[in-house]
Amino acid sequence: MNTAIAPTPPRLAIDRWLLPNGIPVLVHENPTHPLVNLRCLVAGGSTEDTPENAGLASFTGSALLRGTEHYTFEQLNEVIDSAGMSLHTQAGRDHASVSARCLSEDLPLALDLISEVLCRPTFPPEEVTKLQHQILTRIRQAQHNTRAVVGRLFREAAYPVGHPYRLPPNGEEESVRALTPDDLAACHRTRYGPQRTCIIVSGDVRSAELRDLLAARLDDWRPEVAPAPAVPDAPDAVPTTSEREVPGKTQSDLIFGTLAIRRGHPEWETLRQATIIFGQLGLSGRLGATVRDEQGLAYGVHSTLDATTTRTAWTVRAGVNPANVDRALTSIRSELAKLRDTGVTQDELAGVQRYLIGSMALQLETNAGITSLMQQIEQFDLGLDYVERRPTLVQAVTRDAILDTVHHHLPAGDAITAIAGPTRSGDR
Amino acid sequence: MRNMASTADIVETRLDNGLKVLTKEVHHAPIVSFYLWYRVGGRNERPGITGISHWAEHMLFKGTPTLKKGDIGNLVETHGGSWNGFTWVDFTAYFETLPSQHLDLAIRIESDRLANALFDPDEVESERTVIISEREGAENQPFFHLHEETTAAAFKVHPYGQPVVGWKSDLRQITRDDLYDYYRTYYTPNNGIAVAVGDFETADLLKRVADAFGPIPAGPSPPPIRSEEPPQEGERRVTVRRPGPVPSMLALYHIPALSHPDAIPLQVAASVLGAGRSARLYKAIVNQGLATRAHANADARKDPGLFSVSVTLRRGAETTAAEATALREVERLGESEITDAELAKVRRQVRSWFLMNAEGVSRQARLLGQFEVEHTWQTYTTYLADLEAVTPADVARVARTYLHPDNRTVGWFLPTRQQRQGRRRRQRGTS
Repeated sequence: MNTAIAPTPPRLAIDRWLLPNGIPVLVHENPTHPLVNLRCLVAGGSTEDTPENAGLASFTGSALLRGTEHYTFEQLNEVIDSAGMSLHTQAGRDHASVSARCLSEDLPLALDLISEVLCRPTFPPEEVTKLQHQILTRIRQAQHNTRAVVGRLFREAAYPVGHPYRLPPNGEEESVRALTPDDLAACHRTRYGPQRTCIIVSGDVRSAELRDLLAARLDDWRPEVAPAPAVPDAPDAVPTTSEREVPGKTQSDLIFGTLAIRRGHPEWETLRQATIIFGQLGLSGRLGATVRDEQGLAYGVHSTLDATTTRTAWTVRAGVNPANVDRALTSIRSELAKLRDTGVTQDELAGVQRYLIGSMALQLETNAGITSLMQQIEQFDLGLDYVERRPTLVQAVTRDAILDTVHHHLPAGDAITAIAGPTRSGDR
Repeated sequence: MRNMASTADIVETRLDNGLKVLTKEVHHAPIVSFYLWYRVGGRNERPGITGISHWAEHMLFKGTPTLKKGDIGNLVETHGGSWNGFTWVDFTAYFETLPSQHLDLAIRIESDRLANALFDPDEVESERTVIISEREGAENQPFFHLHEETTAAAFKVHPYGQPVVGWKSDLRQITRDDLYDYYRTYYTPNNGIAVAVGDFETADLLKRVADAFGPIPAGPSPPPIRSEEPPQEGERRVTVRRPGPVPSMLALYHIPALSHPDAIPLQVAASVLGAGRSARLYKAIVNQGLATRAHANADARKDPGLFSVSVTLRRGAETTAAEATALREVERLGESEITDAELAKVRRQVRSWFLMNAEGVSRQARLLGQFEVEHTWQTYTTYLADLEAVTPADVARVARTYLHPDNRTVGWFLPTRQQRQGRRRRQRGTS
């Protein structure tokens, strides 16, 4: 038992190499279980959509599985389910992905299927139409979902017209209805290629073996596509309050936040630690202690700092009874004012740093956790030795730095506020 | 402390005060997951105090004489761990997953709150609105209402018909004394199961557990559940009309408990119907454009539970056609045997699922504890062999026995007509 032994500093052995067509591959050999997790990431997502074709990236990402040169949708489903593996395709705001989880004995089969859906989708019209109806239903469901509605209100207040992050990643009913199989095929032709792709693998496979397996399946995939365009930083947003009624609901969802900094910003780690102390650590940090524990206003309240390659959101989210929305907002503002005025205590800082360093062991336990970490390392250029360096990076943050950072990047007083839920009596 | 039973890698021990301890050493990562399960949940509640098991769970995070409110989460996370508590029909459980050198912290927390939770009256009151807020958050989801109403119709006697989160009127009136009495009744070592999976040596762990939990005296045996659901003799139907996006359907059939030999064949039937995009329901309903989602589940529990079929319709699809198609697929299971290929696929899916669950110590501890509460932890080691023994004829037989119309409750969520929602009520600048 390790109880008397100091913990081993976390390490993560990552092998990184390029396929002949230029695709970077990151591999962590993990023989503890006969399983493999694999992600293919293709840079570019809904940020390349326009208001007229909003939803194109997401529709295309989902449709990759709907049929390929060698498999119908039904055949793919049968093979995937019969092997007991999972294989999903999708596209979000910043990238598309093909993800698989399988027994290691099925890795060659999983790679066959991945190469099919990534390189040779055919977008059969009948299947595309079925998927289109499903997406339209999901858009309708989102219109009735307070969390989705409040997210949209925040997005529209935070990003100006024309900014790629303003568009709804899944599109609008009108834009999705207008998309055709040819549109999806063109999207795939112009956005999916080795120049935009990286592959991340953790599991029971040797790196050299994986190199041969991938080369045999992807070496001849060499379409020329332009690099994914960089997303510009959005300007500071004017604090506004927007509210939308969603009929038949009991609870209001709210977001209070601002645009903060990109993942690569020198102060990102500092702001992350402040955010965890403010609304995550333990039972939702300081916010949990006041809004939930002391005042009993909300079951769920927390703060988050997004991590992307462009300037993105710092938010507080809560679900509260409509009668308590104003009280909850007052408490959030008050806690934020305290954070800006006095920063964090030494105990809080030491606590969050122990959490960030100590929890690495849990993240490195499973292939899913390791794959996510390797994705961040590749996406944000953190370096293959990031896991070893992370304790030093975490411990470099000081109380003074946090005070300085929250002053620079978190709102004083009002911020972008979005509320979605039932009618509120009195309505302020 | 007595060693009760063991398999190749799972050891069952019982302390003198009745606490059952299950341990499984796993050394692939320096992590341990420690759970405390209690045999109490929605099935132990009666009208007037529905939701009390879940509320009691919340109160176990609100302080003891030595761990004040908020300490548990902070202590676990600042030692690099994760934690939570959860309540369902048959159980309430708490866990900490930590770097293994901090195992003692988990043992300290769980032994302390087993015996010493304060239930401070002020904390009970502040938590009342938090609990109601949790319920109201769920009420925002259309399926919550459908599930609550259809389940209530399916059970007219057994407490499984009551919502675990509780009816709102009960949540407004449950008292501190109700909660404390409930805690004292069910939170005893002899009603608990400690489960540890991870990087430890069993003998050493058992000594630490015995040192911490051993001094806590056993309590009286909790009161038995008297209610048994009588056989259903005819289809029941429920309709929920509320604002919402699209119709959805939930069909529920009574099935036996997890301890019954038919439980695993019923789970095979559910997988053939609903596991994956090659399953029968997906092909018949989603692929045919009637629905966006179709799912089946055999929820075997400690007492007889429910087999469920749920369908979310595509916009504009006919409810009659969707229901007829889904229920026809259920009937078909009893009319002819599933194919050998279907059975082989289910076996493979379940085997993969078990292997994938074994990847994390917390998932293993959760499975062991849940099996023990609902039947016996040995199910963890026998499940795959029992599954291998299931034949196509078994699946057809259980389908005919349980999945017939007289044993069925069908619920529909039907959206009411509303003015187009999404009206922007107000937007103002504050700068």
